[in-house]
Amino acid sequence: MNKKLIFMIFLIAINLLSFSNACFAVPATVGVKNFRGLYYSLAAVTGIKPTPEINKYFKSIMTRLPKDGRLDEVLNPSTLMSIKGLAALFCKEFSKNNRDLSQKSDQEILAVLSDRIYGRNLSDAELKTQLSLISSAQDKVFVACTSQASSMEFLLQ
Amino acid sequence: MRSNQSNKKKLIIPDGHKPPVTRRDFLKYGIIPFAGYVMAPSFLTQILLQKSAQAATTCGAAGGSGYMPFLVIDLAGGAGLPGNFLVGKSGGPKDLLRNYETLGWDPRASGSLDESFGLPMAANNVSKILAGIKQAASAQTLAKLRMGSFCHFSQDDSNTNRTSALTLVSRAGLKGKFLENGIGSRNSLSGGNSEEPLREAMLKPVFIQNILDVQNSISHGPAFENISDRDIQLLSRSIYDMSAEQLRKFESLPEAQKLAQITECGYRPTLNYGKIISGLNPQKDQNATQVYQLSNNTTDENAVFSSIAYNVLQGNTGPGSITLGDFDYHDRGLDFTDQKDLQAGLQIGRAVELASRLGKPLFFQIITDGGVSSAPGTRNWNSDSNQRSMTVIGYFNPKGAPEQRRVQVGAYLDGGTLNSDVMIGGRTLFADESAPANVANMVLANYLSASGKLGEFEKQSQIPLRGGDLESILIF
Repeated sequence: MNKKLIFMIFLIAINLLSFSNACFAVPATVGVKNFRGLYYSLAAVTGIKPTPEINKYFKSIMTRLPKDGRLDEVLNPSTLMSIKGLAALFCKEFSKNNRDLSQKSDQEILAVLSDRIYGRNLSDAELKTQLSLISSAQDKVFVACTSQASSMEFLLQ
Repeated sequence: MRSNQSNKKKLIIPDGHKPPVTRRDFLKYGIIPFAGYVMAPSFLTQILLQKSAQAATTCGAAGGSGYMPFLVIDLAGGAGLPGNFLVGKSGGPKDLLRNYETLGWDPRASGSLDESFGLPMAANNVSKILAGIKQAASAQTLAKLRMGSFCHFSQDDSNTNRTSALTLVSRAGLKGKFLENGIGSRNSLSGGNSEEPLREAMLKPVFIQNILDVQNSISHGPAFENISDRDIQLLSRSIYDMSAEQLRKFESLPEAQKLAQITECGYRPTLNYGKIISGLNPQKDQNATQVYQLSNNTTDENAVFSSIAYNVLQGNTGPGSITLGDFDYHDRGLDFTDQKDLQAGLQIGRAVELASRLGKPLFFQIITDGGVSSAPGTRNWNSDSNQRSMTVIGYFNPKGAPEQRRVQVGAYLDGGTLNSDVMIGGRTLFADESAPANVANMVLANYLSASGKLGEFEKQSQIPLRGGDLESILIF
């Protein structure tokens, strides 16, 4: 009997907690991925298992990447360059491992990458920017991937 | 009354975007007034782009604008500072002690005081720190330099004195354009030998061992080694354009302005960066090369110090710290101690002269761990002495000599040792192991005061100094 009562109280407490969270939750504000989030997100969207080269670079720049995920933490060029450097290493590996993708048309390359990185299609303006970037690039996949994975939307969470 | 000019709507076109040509462009920039529901997003975009442009002008704030360059000069080992800078009783340095026998000089001797910098120094070529400063900096530069002192206890031959104000200054708001944190010649939380009262790993200065370390720590990374500067710049342009475009999606968020700042202060400055970013290597700067007499050597102490001073002065980094070793120099003979003092003076003078040539202000703090006492009546330092310690601060203002409220805080006693009974706010802040941290906070107060931001002190400091108590520790 006692056990049943305790269980009931537990359930009610859980429900009350959920209810109060739902009712009074503060709307989430925009932040950026922290150093760990960036590393794992880049690994996830590229499907690349971090190589020793990636890990060595990550270790060397870790203290320059966002720690708490505050927007202030990316308000300087050196942090964004470090993010770009990390993204580029993942994208270099991605390009190496996906040679078949580079055989496709520019539009198709961009579509595949934007789906992986942003989970959506590029807007007209973004597409224009990206097409102009990769039209003359030697390694189109690397360049487009690095550009998308270093731009603001990927950083935000 | 608003002027006609201010009523005009500003059209702001982001860099790299074409001026409006088509109907679509005109709608985009809100030039064609249209139905409300169409106009609303354009109007918001317009505001956002204006904010973005405003953000561009305030990037300096993120880069430390308003906070002058700050440098710690750490003489590791316990330098004989009172043998170079005059210490006095509670009336100030010229309230002379009964004797200076164990402090290495006699300030009562004729012509023994050089008062060029406010705080008197040992003239007649007695103080080699003074000689070094005068050797490295021009008379014109030094006319705009003033110094003052804090008389306090510090532990001998120990890095545990929390005298460095570097992280306090960092947290107060001095951030670099490229490296937000400070830089230092020692791999420690203060960037120097002595510790800091504010121990925060996130404020740890970048360790500099090579003149190129600042440049190398701001690079695109190994993935770009075989990519041309032109291609790197095209990529940066694409990232900037993508981010500016993506910004529009977030225009209704409260953080929209901050996001615009990221685009303008974070992404935009990288547009012209190639593999090597200019303006970070003092070897490429004529003034730095001349002042520091730089050669091709990238790792000698002078080269490393030049890199720290140069990048701090240029606002590329937060505050800097240079540590000169071997100042535990008692029983090493006068030649050796003079040579060490001269080396310290040269580094101080070079930093000030470079500030002058670059047209920048500089606030510096000279610290040491403990001190020394001399054989009576000589300048032969023969033992450690934590009761003969002090910290000196200096402020160079390229616009003219800074005004000083006083030149000494704290005091010595007639016998030539620290007066431990000096009280501020009913507390003895200069006497025991907490003295170095108290003094670091006082240095912060002076730095903020010189930067016109004394109002920030209460929020930033770790000791409760207000009103008259706060005023009583201000040199600048």
